[in-house]
Amino acid sequence: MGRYSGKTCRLIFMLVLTAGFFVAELVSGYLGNSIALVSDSFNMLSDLISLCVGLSTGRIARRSRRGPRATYGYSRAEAVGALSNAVFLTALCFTICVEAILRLARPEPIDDAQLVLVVGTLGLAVNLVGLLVDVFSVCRTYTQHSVSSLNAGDSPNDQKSPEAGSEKKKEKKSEALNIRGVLLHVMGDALGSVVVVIAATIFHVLPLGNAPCNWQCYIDPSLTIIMVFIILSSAFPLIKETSVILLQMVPKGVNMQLLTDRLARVPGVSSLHEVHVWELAGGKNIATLHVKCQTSADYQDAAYQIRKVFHEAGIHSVTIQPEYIDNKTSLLLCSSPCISKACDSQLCCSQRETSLAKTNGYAEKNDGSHLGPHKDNSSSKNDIEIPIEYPLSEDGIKKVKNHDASDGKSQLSSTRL
Amino acid sequence: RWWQNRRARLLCMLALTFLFFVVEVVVSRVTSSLAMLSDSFHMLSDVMALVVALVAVRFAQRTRATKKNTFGWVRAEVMGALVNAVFLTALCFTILLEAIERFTEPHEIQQPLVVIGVGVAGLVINLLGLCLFNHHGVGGHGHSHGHGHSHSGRQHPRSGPKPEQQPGDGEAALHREETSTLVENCSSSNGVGQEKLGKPCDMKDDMADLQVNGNAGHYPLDVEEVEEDSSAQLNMRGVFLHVFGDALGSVIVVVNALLFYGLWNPCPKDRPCFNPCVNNHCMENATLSQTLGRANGSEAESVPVAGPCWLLYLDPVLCLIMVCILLYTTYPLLRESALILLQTVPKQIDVHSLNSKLRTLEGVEAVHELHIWQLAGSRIIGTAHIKCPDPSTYMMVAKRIKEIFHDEGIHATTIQPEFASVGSESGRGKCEFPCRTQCALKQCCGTVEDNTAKKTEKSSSLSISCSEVVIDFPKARRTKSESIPSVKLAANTDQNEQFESSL
Repeated sequence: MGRYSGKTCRLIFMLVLTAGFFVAELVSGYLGNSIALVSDSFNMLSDLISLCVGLSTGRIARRSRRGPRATYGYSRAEAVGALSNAVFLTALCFTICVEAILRLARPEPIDDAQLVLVVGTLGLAVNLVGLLVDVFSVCRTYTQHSVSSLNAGDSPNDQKSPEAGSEKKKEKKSEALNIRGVLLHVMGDALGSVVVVIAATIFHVLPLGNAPCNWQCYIDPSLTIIMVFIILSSAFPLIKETSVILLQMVPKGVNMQLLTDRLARVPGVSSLHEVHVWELAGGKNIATLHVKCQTSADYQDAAYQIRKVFHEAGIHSVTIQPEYIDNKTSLLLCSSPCISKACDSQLCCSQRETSLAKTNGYAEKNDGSHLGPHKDNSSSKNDIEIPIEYPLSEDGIKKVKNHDASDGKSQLSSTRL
Repeated sequence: RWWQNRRARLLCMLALTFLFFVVEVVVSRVTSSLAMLSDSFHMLSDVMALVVALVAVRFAQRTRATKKNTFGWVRAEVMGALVNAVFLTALCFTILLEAIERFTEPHEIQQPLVVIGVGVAGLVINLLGLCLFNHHGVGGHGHSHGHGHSHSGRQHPRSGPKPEQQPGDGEAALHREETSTLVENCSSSNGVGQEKLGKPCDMKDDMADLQVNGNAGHYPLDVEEVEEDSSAQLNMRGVFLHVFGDALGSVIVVVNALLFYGLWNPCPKDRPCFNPCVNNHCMENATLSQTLGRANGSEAESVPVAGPCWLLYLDPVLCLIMVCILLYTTYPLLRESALILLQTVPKQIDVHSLNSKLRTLEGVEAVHELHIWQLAGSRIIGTAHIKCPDPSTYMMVAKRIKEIFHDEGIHATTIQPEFASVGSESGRGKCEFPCRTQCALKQCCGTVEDNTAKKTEKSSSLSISCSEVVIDFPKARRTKSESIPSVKLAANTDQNEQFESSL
């Protein structure tokens, strides 16, 4: 789309500008012996890195969609890049903090106050330019996105208006969060430049000359420490956000408890296990689960409903593995984990512990007899050791351990057996 | 043997390093040497790296699914490795900056003897750390690639004592957030062990073991053994590289100080001295005094000149070399952990050949949405949609499919069968699920399966890949359930309504 070329142009311009100023600030900071300027230059470096990350991940994501090396594409590159950037910035802040503490122990004056002042002011100007550019672009993407979503979703909207409406509200909220995040970030940057300007002004107005250090020398390091905290306060939320994605956590806004409850209530589903929900990147949620059904027809009926439940939860890529009930396996265990139990340690989640597995208490379709042809895939093979179980005690466990199941559910399941 | 426990090793190194940091700070105050103070903060960065690794290890031992993370926290170690690698890169960057600064303004080392002493002590500690973290793979248990060889540890009955697992207060807090867990008791202590066959599993015994608050299902010995796989190795490698960098730094410090002590001619404090290495405005005075001295002639010796200047540049040069070495060794770690976090296919698996193997199975018409990714270590996860003509064919072929995956090392798979309808033979029916075009942007891969690199996310054509056409067995469905047709009619698009009516 045309938007890409404009955005890339803007990005490259910002990139060059930021790189130049990073070098200028760094050199001036060392020459003028001002730690605040050096820390501001590190801030700019981090901005530079995030710009590079944005550019390169955009390019990577566009170029190699889904190759043999990455079946999901590289859309996660942005998260990894953001995490690396945040950690890099934190490490740099750590070293700046150390230097500031050393400066407090042994204060030194700013040598060349004019240079520092000039460069600091220019840096502030660059930050403000960046702020304007960013806000501009975010506003533009926001309006474009809302327009496009209106276009794409008009016909099904009539039927699904409540859901679509709530989704659009969520989009608006996330866009607002985006803008706020960007604003906060740039304000933090600007604050850093302001600190530099303050420190340099003091030295410019009240030059120290050759006199020993007085209170003036303590301003630079102390303001720097304050600045470090400001920078860190913008880095840590970023780390937390990307950790959610990278650690395969359940995305925010998805309530696993509610979701599994709803799924268990879908007619035709006897039980479900191995429910996994995770976020690939940028709002794309993926889920996989195994459902146990009595018959193939049950499964096909249920599959649609299951996807609907997921859709309402905001998860649109779902892979469902049907398993058919046989009385040899517990309802909550996977009938076909892998071809042998030896692989247990390499399963994503050990089969020995089944958490988040649920039985369907409303088992109106379950009638004790299980249909012959729809046997479980793996049960007939000898290399799988299906544990022998005692049905009664299994219910006992359900009663005791399954806190979430209401008493009614456990009653029903016992009648089934 | 406590030293084979990763956490113990990390804690031990952490304690040592922190102690040394404190010692260095004290010594630097006593001798008022700023250089030593700044050097001591390198140790502090080591401490931080160790803390990161420790947190990762603690997290990664919770392998069970929780409400917040359905995969458990096994990936924490990979993330810890990445964080450490990036941290190390940042430190290299700051060292680089310092070295450049030293080039422009060389410093002398004050009190080289003290520096040598502390440097040697730091080197010893770092070497100890290197030894600790180098042999993390070696030990009594070694690698168990999950084929459950019955280690002595695994046959402990579950009610037996668990020496290594001290359920601290932290553990109880951890478990509070986990959902109710059901432990499948029979497979408790016997992956492929010998005792499972035919042994009636005693549920009550294990129920007694299960404390809802505590170590329920925490198989400490099993977990500790099996997890010396690649994700743990990554984490330890990160720590190892940090300690290695610190050791290099100590080596440089010691070498520099030794050479300084040996070769440097310092300026004595009481005499005018000419220091040609430092460019300052005092040089004119120095030359003046030198000429004066010569003119006087009474002092036989000339004004002492501060020692060989190249010594002052030794430090930054060595630092540059160290930075190069560190970056060279850190880059593979960075790459590996990043690739895992990016959900790429592990390098030992060839997706094309897997795809073709699956396709050539008889009964399989098409394979799409094949995704393979590595959770952490040896846990590789795969999902696929397999298109079969009807459910009974699928039953026959299902085991073969799992075997193919198993042979590649992918043990956690989710296979979704899809059944072609009578009418649509192209294999790609319209998705009648709620996720239609409006969700295309939010699907993981909302494009046509062939890897054409178009921006098909934004296209408005119905090329959704969740193509499960549930049109077969219409009669059976209608007799079975009364609610289905109404549901379908309510949510279908127009195209599917046509399908229904035609049947």
